[in-house]
Amino acid sequence: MARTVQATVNGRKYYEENVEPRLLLVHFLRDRLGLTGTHVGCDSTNCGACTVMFNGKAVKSCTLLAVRADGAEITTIEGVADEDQLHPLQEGFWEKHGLQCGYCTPGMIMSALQLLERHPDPDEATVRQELEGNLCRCTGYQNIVEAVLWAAERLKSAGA
Amino acid sequence: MPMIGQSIKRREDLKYVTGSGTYVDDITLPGMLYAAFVRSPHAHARLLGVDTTKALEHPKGIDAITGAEAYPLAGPMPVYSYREAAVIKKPDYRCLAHDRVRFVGEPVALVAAADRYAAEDVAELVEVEYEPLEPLMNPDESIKPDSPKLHDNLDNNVGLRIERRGGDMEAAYREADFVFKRRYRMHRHTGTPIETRGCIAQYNTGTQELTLHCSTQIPHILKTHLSEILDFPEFKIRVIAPDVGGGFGNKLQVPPEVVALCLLAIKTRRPVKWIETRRESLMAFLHAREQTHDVEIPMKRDGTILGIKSHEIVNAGGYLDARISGPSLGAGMWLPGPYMVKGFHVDIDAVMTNKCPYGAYRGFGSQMGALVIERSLDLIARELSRDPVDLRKQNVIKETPYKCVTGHEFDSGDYMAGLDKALEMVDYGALRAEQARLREEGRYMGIGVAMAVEGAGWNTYTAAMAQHYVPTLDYATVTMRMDTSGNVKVLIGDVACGTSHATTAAQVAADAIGLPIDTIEVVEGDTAVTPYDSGTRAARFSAVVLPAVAESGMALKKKVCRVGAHLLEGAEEDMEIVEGQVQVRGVPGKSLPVSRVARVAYSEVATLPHEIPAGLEATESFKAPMSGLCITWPYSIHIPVVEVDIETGTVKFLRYAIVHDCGVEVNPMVVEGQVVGGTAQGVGGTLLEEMVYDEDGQLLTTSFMDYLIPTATDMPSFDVCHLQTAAPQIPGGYKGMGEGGCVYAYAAVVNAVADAIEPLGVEITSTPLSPSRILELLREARG
Repeated sequence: MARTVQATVNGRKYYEENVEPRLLLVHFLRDRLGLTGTHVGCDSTNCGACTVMFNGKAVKSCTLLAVRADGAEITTIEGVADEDQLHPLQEGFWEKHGLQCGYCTPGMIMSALQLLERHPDPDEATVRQELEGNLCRCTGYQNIVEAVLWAAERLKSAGA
Repeated sequence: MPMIGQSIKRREDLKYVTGSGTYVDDITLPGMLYAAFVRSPHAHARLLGVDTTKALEHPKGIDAITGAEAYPLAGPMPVYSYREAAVIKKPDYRCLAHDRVRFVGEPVALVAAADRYAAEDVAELVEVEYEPLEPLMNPDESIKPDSPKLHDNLDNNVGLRIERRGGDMEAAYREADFVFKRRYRMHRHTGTPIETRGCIAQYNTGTQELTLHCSTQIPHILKTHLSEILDFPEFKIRVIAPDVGGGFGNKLQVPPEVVALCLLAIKTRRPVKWIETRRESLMAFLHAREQTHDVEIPMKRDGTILGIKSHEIVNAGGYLDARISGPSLGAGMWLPGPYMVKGFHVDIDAVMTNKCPYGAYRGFGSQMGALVIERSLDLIARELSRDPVDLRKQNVIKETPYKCVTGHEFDSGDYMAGLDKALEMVDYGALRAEQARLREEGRYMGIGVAMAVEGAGWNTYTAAMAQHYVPTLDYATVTMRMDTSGNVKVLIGDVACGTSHATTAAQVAADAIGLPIDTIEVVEGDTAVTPYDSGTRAARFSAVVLPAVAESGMALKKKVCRVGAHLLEGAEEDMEIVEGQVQVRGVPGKSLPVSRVARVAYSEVATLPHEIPAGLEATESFKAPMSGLCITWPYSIHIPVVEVDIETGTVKFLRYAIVHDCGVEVNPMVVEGQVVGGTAQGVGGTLLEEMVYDEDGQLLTTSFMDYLIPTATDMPSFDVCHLQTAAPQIPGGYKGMGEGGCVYAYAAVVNAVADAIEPLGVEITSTPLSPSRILELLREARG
């Protein structure tokens, strides 16, 4: 039975009728709402390319059903920047060459958002551990780690 | 300030960090259908019938195509061969199976449905009748003369035979005090870009044009091949590669799936999208690497390597991919490494089995050659009670240019200096002392050394199969178009797949023309607007494409200066462009903004003398001189330091030092990103990743839960030292790069692990070195 899903995504209200119960959240975001920044890489919750913030928690949207999003608040990569002002994580990935093909980047940034919420002043080992659920095939992770540490520094000095 | 040599931030990144990149699955066309493949569950079976009736009764099932229908509509998939000593017996490889299936995941039919989910439902309703046959999984069995044949039109199961000889192997044996012999076995793994394959095919009945949006590294070559396979006019095909989420050589493939998709688009008269699932991708996208080498190395007792001989067996899978000869020959040609040897001899058999076809993956086979020689040197050093570094120093090429026994001419570089630098980075002497101390504590630290010359820009394909087009990659053509405001588009027929072209090509263009970089933009990937190009492959972008960017930029500059000279009433040869101003050299104040010149060239044409043409556009080609099989010769030395936990079999990195020389670096940040990323991929391939088939030919690794690609915690921090020996034959001095990390890591990491556990009586001659495999080796050694 198709359902209606009402959700707040990136601060905007969405109302979608006829949502198939089996529709995955990632396809709901991409195909129904047109938010194509969230990617699919593995279909099995391993690679993290589909990571979004769901009611304040980083989740992999490829194994969550869209109907679960009824009443939820979701942030995708499209909602991370504050208008034209990039989030320090976005700046960090750019500054530190934390991406090559860019496919894993949105998911990586969403996981890193949660990482910095949990660990505002992380060390390298913590960053690596917290990003274990996100796979990157291009960078070898070195510059991703640098990017997150750069953003942490930036956020700290902004908060100070 | 010149742009070349600066680590400027990438110009393509804003879209990626904001989620506004456009990959193929982000594109939706009006009226678009979704496609799904029906794939074989059997490794080997006769195909008795494919029935789509029930599938098309599904309310959302729009159309379907089977192998039998496709057979007369699409010709065989292409196979390239090499100029010399190659025999290819061509299996009949079609876009959809029509008589037999030869690997698990081989496509047998394609359906189109109204949406993504329905496509999978509809595909499940296709009824296929199989008669299972005995699978051939082991190339050592399949190569035997009495083995059943996988392809009726072949004499046996050898799909490709290459024989290469160099120097004087007989003399090498004659002078030898002993002959070192081993069998090495490298396991099957592959590139697995995080974006799987995907394509939208669309046929316009009015224009009779076929348009593809496709995740590929080779839009122009794909267009040419599709034209041949489908017997469709090439100028009516347009391939657009949007953002590509990783390629790693895998996306050099001409996918049979894309051919079938074109047929379905033509049949349905609607755009059809196919996005591969990860499961499909692991089963049916290209696999790579799996080889065995039976090696003989005639040696002198004083440590001189005299020659190297190998019988190389490649497990080619059920069909020959277009590029089968590349990674096969690549391994063979890299056997002598950067060492002085007298003789070289390799016989290569690519053998048909019931596995996924074998194709290109970053490094193109050279890592297997590097593994054979580097592992052998360590084992020989042990036999001779020598330090492995010392043995390398004795045999390494001391001076360049050096004519290698394979026929390659290594044109530049100082390999000994590179090795010394790497040893200094890890403090080799102190490390050996530390290793001895740790061993006494029962801890197993290992130091691996591997060095190699990388051939960047292979160019050896030839039209051995006359019916197929064969791409050549030793030239590039670039167009520069200045608009009416003085901004420039650089049009390149390549595709960036993480390779930073939008940045590095703009850096080179900015210097060539004399414009600020923010007035330059790179356009790639669309065959309708870019010049013909053989694509992003073989590390050719720096060595071949960037010189073409420079030449095209200089040609455009000349045109701007010509108009400028007229406007400033100066001589054309006295003009220069500095920071976007056309000026008379040495005459301060006599200048004009380029934007003014552009305006005149486009809209005040009547004011120009008759001999000055309208508009500002230039197209130039660069033809790279060849040095043996390749265009440029970057090199690297890798020294990983590991500790092996003999209780768990896990490998921990303590250090990882890399010395890398790819000539002049346009953007050192980008170079380092490629070196580190490539190395990580090599490390993952050595320690974690393996495509595992059971004896019935079922693939057991069909998700990232089973096929383990490295995570952030598996990877160390890499220390990279950049040397820059300019390529003597390439304007600008650039050498190709990007594959190297992935080439040397394999041998270096295997040597490091072997060095760690060698005191426990373990000899490593095969991969992967997963924890379970390391424990197994330790158990075997204990007896």
